[in-house]
Amino acid sequence: MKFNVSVVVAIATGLITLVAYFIPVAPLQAVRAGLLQSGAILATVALLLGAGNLLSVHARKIRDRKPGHLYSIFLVISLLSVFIVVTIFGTQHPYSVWIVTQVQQPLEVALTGLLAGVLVIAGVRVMFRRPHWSTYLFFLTVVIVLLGTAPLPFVAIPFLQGFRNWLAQVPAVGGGRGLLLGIALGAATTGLRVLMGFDQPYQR
Amino acid sequence: MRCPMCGKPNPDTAEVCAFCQARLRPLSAAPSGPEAPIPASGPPEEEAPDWLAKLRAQGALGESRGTRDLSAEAEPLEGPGEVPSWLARIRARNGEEEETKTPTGPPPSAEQVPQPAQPETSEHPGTEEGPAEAEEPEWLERLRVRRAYEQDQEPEKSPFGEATSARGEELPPDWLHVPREEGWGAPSLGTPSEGPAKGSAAPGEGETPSPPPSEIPPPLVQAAPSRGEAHVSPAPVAGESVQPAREPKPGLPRLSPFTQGSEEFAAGGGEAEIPDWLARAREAAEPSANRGEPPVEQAGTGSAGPGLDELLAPGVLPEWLTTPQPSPTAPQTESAPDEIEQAVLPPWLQALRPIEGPAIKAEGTEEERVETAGPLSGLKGILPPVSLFEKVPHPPVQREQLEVDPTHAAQAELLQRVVLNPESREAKRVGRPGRRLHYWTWGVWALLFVAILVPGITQSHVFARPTTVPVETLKLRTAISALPDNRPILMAFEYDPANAAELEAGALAVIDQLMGRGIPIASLSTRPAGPAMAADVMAREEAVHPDYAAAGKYLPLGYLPGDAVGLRAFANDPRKASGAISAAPVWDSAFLQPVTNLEGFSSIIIVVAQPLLFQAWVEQVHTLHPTVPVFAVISAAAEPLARPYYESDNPSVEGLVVGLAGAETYDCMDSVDPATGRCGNVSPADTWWDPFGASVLAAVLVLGVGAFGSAGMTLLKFWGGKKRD
Repeated sequence: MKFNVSVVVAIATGLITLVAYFIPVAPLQAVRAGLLQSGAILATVALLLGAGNLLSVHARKIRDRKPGHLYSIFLVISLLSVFIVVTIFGTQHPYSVWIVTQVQQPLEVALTGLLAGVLVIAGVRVMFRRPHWSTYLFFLTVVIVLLGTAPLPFVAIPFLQGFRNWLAQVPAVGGGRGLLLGIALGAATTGLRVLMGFDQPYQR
Repeated sequence: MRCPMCGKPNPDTAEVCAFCQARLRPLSAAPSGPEAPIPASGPPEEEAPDWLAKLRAQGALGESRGTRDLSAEAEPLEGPGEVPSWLARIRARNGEEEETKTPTGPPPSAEQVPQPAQPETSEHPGTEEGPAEAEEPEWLERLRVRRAYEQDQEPEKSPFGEATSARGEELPPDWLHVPREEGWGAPSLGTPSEGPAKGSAAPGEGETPSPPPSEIPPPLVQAAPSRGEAHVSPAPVAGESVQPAREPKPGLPRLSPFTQGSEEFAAGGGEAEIPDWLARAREAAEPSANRGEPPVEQAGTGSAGPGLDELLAPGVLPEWLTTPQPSPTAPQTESAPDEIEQAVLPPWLQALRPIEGPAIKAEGTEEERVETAGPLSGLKGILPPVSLFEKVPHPPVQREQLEVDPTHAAQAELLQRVVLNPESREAKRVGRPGRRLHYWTWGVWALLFVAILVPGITQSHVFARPTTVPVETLKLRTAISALPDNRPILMAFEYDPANAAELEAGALAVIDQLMGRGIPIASLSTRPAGPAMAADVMAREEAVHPDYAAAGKYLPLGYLPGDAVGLRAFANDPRKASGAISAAPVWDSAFLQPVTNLEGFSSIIIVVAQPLLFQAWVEQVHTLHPTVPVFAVISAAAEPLARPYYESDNPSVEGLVVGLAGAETYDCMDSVDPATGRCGNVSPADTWWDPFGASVLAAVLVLGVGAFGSAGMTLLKFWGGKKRD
């Protein structure tokens, strides 16, 4: 375990923030508030740095005429144009909203729609490649949930919707709770390791 | 000319041998002009000095006769300055010997005595111009001594026995057998009274040739009859003379190897020390002395008497002086005359004997190549740097049988092709098997499209509207109905444009109710596109409620960065957290002026698609302000993780609208026509209800067909296997 300035700062910041959760002392709360504000500002700066790095990488790719530099040209043009428009007009301006709703949103929605078709085809292949009882159980579950969620034409099957609700609220929620507990425990352990200096994700 | 070292022919003008790089012309010589080196066999006949030529002639004559007569009259010299000192000494000694002894052999005629030619002045400056008493060749001294003994006694066996004459070699020179009693001092030339000692050869007439400078006589071998070994002594330098052994001259130093032997020789009598081979050689060469060769030039003394005869006696002079011999080749095994018994060298002497003649070629070796380039040019036997290594055989390759997998072979072939062919370095993209869409896949897509497009285009109302209302949805509608209209609510638009189709239906339904009641709505989002989404939704709904828009009850708070950290900061101080982001006039409006913290909002409605964002809102905001009720419009995918916050003893969320079904239920609540079953409130949820139902049924149909088909195939395989069994 190496100790240097970054490690000391990380541990001190984490301890102050953690202790301030349990000890409602005004000065401590003020320090914690300041640290949180600084974190938010740093996150913003990191976002800008990420955008700048992306720009430089693709600019170098265009300069070196590497394979796929045409896509880099479009990326750089779009990045700069959106950045300029939003910087000038603001996030709530119709121009900025138009870019998001008329360009970005349709593209992402289309890809999400393709994902649905791919999942269906993958499900069929799984059944042919692995004809196992678990595969058929998976198929049965998927069919029940889909039929219970989506409406049926000209007919309504009540027990199907109830069964679907039971599946979504009992087994699924139980599994979800287990996942959440695992996530919480992992987050707590990771936080303790960072506070104690065993993990140093900020170090290279 | 021939090289004295290797014996190979070279041009006459060459100074070094082209084969072995030996000098053809001695360095000490100051040639007046291009001179040819003296070959091993002596200078050719036409170039040999006169004295040498005479000697050779006499030698040849002597060989034919079997004797050699050195007592030919010497040619008178022109002047004392031109007579070499050694010749003068010889003559002087001859005079002395003549006084003491009478010559045994017939005096050679002047014609027979070869006249030694003037030695080259440049080679022997000391011998020509030295004092008369300075130097006398030692061999001459020995000759005198020998002759003296020969005249008195019979020749005796050489202490060396038969080993003295090698097979085919020259007879050892006389200086090998003449013991030296005294030093290397030479008698003076101009003193006839000091002529050669008694019994020694007195070459009074003519000159006694000195060995050419290239021919350094071999080491002296002491003639010691009492010893069986030969004592090697340093070779005499050309021009030096040897004092006669019989009468050692006073004042001259004695040399140990010779003094001992000379003492013995002197004490024991000279007859016993003369080797028999010498005697035999002399006897064989005696006829050659009577050939009538020109006498040897005298060294100014004018007397060419018995001294020269002794010098020219058979066996006295080496053969190279008498007969021109060819270049040294293989040792002549038959050079000795018939009269001379072939000597047998002892093994130890044979081992010391240098190998003469051409090198014996090893079997299989090629003729040595001569290097022609580089610093080693001209040398032979240089190892070729390339050819040798090229001939190194490689060790045998033990080939083993490898089992190559076809996949590995294909990969190896691909690698080889890529390496050898640069153009093929780019790996060809091979489509994965099964990548292409099958016909049934196209059918599924087509079915789904039809299921969505047909109800949407026809605006059908085939699918029944939900008649049962979930409890969580009813609670939300009831709670909103009870909210005060003077306190704003906080609405969080925490979804991306991808989820807009599902969540906007529920959000529009809730906003519609809020706007209908005139409750101010403050929007906030932690998503970058959230503010734009919120603005769009509010704009669409304000179009339906123009009074609401005119009242300015929509309060956009903008974007809140930092996710959970930003939410916690907002929960602590909403003004401070969002004051820098949103415009100041928003917080200064009449609806938000009394709001100093979250307690100023009547409720919080979260429109979220991801469960983690919902969780962050609940854990960071609601835990700090538990009195503010939280409601949620969530997607069907987030319901399993959001419902625990609702179905708990102390629920954090008091109402939920789940997916499109919940939105349709919320919209049609209290507006369903029981006769037709249609929803009285036309909303996006109602518009999308039939396409949604049709697409879900199409998906269920496809999955059902696939499941039945898979099950049928499985059963067929099972039955088929059972039948085979």
